[in-house]
Amino acid sequence: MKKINPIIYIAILVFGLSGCEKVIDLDLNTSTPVIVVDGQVTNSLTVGSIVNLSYTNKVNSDNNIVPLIGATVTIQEDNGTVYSLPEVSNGVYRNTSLAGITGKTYHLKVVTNAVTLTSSSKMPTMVNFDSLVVEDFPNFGKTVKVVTPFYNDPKGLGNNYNLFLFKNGRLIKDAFAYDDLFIDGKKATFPLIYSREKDEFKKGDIIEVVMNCIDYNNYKYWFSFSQSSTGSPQAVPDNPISNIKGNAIGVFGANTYQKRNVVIP
Amino acid sequence: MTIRKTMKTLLLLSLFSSAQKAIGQKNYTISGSIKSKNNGEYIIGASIKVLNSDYGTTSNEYGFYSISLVPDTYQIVYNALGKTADTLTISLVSNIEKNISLLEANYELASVTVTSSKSSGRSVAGSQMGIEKLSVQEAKNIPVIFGEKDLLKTIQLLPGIKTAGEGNSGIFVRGGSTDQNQIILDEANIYNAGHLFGFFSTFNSDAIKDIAVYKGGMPAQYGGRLSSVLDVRMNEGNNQNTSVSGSLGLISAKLNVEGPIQKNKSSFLITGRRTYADVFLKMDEKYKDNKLYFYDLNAKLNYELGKKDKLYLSGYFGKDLLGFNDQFTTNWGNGTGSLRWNHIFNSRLFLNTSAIFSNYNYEFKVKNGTNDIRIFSQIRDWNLKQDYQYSINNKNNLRFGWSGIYHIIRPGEITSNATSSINDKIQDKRYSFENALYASNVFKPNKNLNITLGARLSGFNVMGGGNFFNIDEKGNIKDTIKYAKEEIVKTYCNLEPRVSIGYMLDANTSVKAAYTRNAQYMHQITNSNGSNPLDKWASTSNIIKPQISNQFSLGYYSNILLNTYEFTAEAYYKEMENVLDYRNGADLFLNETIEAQLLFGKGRAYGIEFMLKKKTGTLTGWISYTLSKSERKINGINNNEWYNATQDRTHDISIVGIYQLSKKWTLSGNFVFYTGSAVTFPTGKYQVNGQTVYYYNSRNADRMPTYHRLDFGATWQLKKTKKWSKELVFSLYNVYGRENAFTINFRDNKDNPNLTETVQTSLFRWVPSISYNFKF
Repeated sequence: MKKINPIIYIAILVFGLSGCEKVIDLDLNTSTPVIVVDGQVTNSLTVGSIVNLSYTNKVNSDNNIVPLIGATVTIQEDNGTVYSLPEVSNGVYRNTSLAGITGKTYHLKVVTNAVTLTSSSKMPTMVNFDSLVVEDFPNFGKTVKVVTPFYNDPKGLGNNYNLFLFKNGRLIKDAFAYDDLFIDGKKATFPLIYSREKDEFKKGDIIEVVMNCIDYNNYKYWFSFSQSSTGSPQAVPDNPISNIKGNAIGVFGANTYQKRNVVIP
Repeated sequence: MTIRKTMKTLLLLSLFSSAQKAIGQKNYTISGSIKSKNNGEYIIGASIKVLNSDYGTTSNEYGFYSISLVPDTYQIVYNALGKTADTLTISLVSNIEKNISLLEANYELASVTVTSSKSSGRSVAGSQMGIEKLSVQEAKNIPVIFGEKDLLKTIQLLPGIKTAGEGNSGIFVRGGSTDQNQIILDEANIYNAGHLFGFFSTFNSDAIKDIAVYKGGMPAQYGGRLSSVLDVRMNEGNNQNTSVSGSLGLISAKLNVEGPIQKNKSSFLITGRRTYADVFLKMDEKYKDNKLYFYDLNAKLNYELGKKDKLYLSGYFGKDLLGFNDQFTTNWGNGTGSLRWNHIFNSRLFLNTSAIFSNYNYEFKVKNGTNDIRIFSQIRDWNLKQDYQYSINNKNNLRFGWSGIYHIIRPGEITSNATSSINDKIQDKRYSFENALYASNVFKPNKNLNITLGARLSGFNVMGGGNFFNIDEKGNIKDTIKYAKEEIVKTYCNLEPRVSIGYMLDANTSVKAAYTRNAQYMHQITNSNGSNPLDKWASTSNIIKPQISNQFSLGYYSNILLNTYEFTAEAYYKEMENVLDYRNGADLFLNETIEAQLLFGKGRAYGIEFMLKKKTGTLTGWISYTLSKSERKINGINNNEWYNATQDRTHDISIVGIYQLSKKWTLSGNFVFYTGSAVTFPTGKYQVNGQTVYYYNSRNADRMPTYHRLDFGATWQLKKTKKWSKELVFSLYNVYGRENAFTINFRDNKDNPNLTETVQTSLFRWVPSISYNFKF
């Protein structure tokens, strides 16, 4: 949760009345490319299981992915079936028939050019995504529309959530990762506050929210992702905590998948 | 009792040098207090020199002095900053008391001239090194941002003291972090010295007498922080006449009232300040529901109980309030109170007993849909201490005492309304005792040599009253142990030697060397450089160990051209143990097991500082240059290898000039130039879940752009009589409008999200200001 940041943001805003922002050229060092794993097993047959493999790129290059092609990707369910994920397009490995089951652990194995990467994740209990509502939110003297997902956190610590926000089918680039330390056993009623003005919701916009229930290591990843990665002024300059073993970064999760949508009135 | 034993040993240790004192010749003592004739304020650090001899001393924090000499007739010269020297002829046949009142040096020009000590080279004599002193008078004409005189910003122009950020009152001293500075106001600890995120310091300069910064060679009476001590003393209040002064500026208004309660005997002082930026906010429809201000109040009373006793009661209260509609409101502030009692046992023994209270808390309220959440945190100190100053003979001056602090921390409390999603959570309070015993002797065997030998024995008891944890290497909790409130969880003890030697090469030149160890038991857990009110203080625990530093320093001091110029060079090497940093992905907020979020390591800092100061004439000022390095090595960061600390800045130059154009006009300017701070820029990027993520591989391997800036100031004396004084102060911050980088971020280009852009944000370009000061 971005709990502290709003204040600093506010202070800079208030004092920065005479300050300014400009785009600069900076000569940056480039590290040797590192393998990036972005994979998940879901309980949804429409989403299935997908693993994206790529390499890090220069900061000053475009955002197109540098795909890692020709890898062998498999996922084993507990100690049982081994599913293979064929490469469906460059760097995208997918098996639509693999839908995960709550309580089972999924073991990822990636083999490429004599490098082996592994990771495991246990699919947690699914907490029902009850509803999605539109609310007013005061934002610097004006009122904006936001959406709030409602769900009832089950009693007992250890439930973790990861939410993604889409506007008219396009991802809003903010990360929301929550644990249940403060809301244990209660109904969650926190609006998802987007950070960029250009994402502001207008009448008629279709807003979709994907809610994943995730395991603790995935929570650690997405929480540190929300704190560090997306280039906000208060970001911690460090990499999100990866759960991939081997010489790679990124995340692999067995997540329950639910989606709700709402139209902005 | 073991404490008594240790005390004795300590005393003996520092007394050994006095063993060689002349036996058989009886000493008599001249003692008393030194005041300003104009307002009755006691003068700190006034010099008392015995003419045609090697003997001399300085007045202490309460204006008291004592000097022991063999019977003879002496000429004693009393002198102090900005005052006219006074010479007395004294036939010493018994102990005598001489209370001195010194006149302002040049009354007509007093408030516009002085930039430095007119007394002969302060830093050359003695063995104390690593000290910078600044009085409000000295700082008065140096331009500052928003025209708000601020001692914490002005000291950043001195060597070895660096700003924590643009326009910020936070400081880094000799490569240390902001929480390693001990900031005390009339002896009370100030836990957050910044208003509005550090853009203003908590010190209203109208209420302040002076500030002393110890960068190294800390005397034994100070302890508890690694990098520096900032000893800030409040004015006592004019005990001659009632006076009112104040100022109106663009940002704030100040009012100061002081005067005698009983002439010559007692006085009071009340100073208030409030900012009114919120008034401007209200004029804008968009921001009218926002709140943004701070205020502070300094008050002091002092009373002479008799010839030998004096009581001081001083207090500070400050509060910041920041609110955005009902959505967020946050307020934070310090409150302190000190009751001090000076007692003169006899002409040689002076005692100060202090009872001090200090509090810092913040409250943060969020209204979020149906959630009304309140978050609260507090740190509170109760401190009792005694400081004895004993003039043994003309060669030895002993200072010893003890201090006990009881810390109570309420790390975090979250409460909410019934309809909220949040469960109330009150974290266990943390209790601890921080105690110290110290003794230090200044020994002057001959006119050239000055040796200070001292030690501080500090102890820290982590007390129970809650759950304590054992954690593994990865920060996971292994087990939880509950301790009762009266149980001691853990005790730490440190012996901190404080040694310094000064040697006069000739009447105007000296060399000094010092070794100092410091232990720090209270730590600030922060991931920001400025002053963030939500930064958390944590006490040493079973897991967090005391931070320790060892500092070695060497210095060369010279007065040039009849004290017109003063040249200082100091080199230092400091090593630090058990310094903290947070783990990657740490959630510091309301985290019950804060220790699980931390990493521990060591640090080293070294550098050399030069300063050339012109002390007299119509043009005064200084040039200071620091070349330094500060590094950390923390397990779990940067592959466990040494990396540049955030505080690391290779070069740092300040030039300050004050020119007195006429009786009415004083012009001033300062120029600063420093290497950009060490930062971490990404060395790659990639996509996860459709978002651009930046890749980092070595900590603080990059640099922010070089910072430089020029400021101008002018003071126009409108009227000055004995009764009335009015002036206008103009300043222009960042004269040539340099866009200095405050932050550098990376983000998707707004027009073409497939590209990354590097964005530099700068805060202040051309900040003009004007303020009107009056006094009657």
